[in-house]
Amino acid sequence: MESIRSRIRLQIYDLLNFWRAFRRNPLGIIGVTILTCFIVIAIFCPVFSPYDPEATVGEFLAPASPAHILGTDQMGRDILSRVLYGTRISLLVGITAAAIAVFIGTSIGVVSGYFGKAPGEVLMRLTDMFLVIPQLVLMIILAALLGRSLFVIVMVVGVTSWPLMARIIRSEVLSLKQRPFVERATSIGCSDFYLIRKHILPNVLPLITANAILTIPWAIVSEATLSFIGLGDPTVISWGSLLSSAFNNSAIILRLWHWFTPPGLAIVLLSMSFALIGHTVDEVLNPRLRKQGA
Amino acid sequence: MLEIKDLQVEYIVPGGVARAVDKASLNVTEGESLGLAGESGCGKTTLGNAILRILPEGGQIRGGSINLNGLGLVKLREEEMRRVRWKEISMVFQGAMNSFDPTMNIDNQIAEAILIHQRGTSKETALGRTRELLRLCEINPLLGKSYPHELSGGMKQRACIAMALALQPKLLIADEITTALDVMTQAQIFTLLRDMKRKFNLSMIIISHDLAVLAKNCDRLAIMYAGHIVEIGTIQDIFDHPRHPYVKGLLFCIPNFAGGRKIIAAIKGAPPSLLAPPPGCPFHPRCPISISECKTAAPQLLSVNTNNHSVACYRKDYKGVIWK
Repeated sequence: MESIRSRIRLQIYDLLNFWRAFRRNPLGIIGVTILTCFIVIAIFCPVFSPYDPEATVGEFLAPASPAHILGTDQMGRDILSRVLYGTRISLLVGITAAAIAVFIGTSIGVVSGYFGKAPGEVLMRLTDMFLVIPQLVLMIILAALLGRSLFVIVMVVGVTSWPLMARIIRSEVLSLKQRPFVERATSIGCSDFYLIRKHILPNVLPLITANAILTIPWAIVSEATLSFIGLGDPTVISWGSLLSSAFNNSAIILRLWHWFTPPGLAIVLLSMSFALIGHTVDEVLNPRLRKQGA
Repeated sequence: MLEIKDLQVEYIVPGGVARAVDKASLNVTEGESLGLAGESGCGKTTLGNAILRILPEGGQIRGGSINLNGLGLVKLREEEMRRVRWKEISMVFQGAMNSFDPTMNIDNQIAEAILIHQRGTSKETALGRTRELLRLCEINPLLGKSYPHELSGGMKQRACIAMALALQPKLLIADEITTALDVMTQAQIFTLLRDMKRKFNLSMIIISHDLAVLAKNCDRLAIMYAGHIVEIGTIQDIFDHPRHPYVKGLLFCIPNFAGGRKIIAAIKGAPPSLLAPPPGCPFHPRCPISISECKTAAPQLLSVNTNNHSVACYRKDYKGVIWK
């Protein structure tokens, strides 16, 4: 009991230390602020949205007006409400797809780095294969083959975004494996699985975290791309599908700024917030930089 | 208790096969500490690692036997070997400074050894035992909660010894454990090691290139050259009656406070490449008294007195002055 409590206390202490170092970086704070706004919007979008995003609530292609701040689309639906609801899908897809990519990337990176030789080589050749195929092409083919649903989009983005991460993790594991404490752990009698779980993973965790946070914006943009070219799930509202319908209804030729700018801006802002947070976390967790901070 | 016979260890490297340990034989009895000396790259560490079978990638035992109380370690399966590690033979490493995982506190890393080997031990018991070990090694048990980077080099080294003693092994291999420490700390570490040896009737193999340290802390001494054990005997025998020209040269290099001023001589040349060792005795190209026999076959390690003082040299009975 005592040890559990002290462990929790220690972790809270670590978190506080982390936050103290984090908040020194103004870019990180900007990122966190933007992200918090988006998360609040995603959770409370029924409260914030003036209309039901799926219902026809006004004239077709109405310009911005006090009733419809961003106007309406070709079916008379309120664009502001649709942009707000789109936050949910973009965040959801971004985070789940990134989680899948991080899981695959970490597993392949750790296994190939730790076991080296034959299994490592086979896994790395597989990684190279994924790396040389242009990712967008691969995503388009997979999405086209597997059908149009949110689940497919998440899977497609997830299983095509891991190779770079696998390479980064592998090189870190290769160098960790040469460190004396791994030799000590082996000589103590640790099994491979135990050693990976207790010594290798905790040491690559900072790298995994920073990479995970940087993978999320990539996944968000990928989802938007797929939706934009019409491979997304037509039944869900996402920023990508908003852009797609704006484009298909000649919003750009008609100069309907209020239609295509907001979703585009939202994608840029959300991606940027993750990128800012990712870079700051990377800096804070880098032991060399941490020493100066603490 | 530990008996090594004709042990051969090879590394497969890009340039070929390097024989790092060649036909090495030695034994350690209970409660005895054996020093293993030689210059860098002569195979000391490799020999130590081979006993625990933790050779780095590319290294393998190519022949000979290692017997621990009748248990042949070379032929053991990996899972069985895992049980021997730390429980029977433990090790304090060359890079003690770095042999702790930076993400885990000291307590947990020492307890780890106990938890892995004694299934069913509760975490509390293991941590209690850890505190006891830290106290034994003269570290405040409260410091167990700290992370490796928060301790000084000497403390880390003591913590390493505490960890090595966690399962009360019978044999402890200490590989260059004081190389990175200052002289005062060195002395403290060895005092601690001697106390532990007495307390637990430990056998030890102390690997070092510092002959003075070995003379003070060991019962017997083995000198290695280019993968071969060239001479082995009690401290007295080696220091007072060295027989091998290389060992004589080594001892000649130690400046003598009591004697008059003299210019110490170096042994000319460099140790041979392990990739292409010279035929016969590995020392013959640098040996001033080598004879034709030395170039054809490596000499056997043969006993020269009743004390088990053994020398591998055809000219072991040469009485003249070799180094001046």
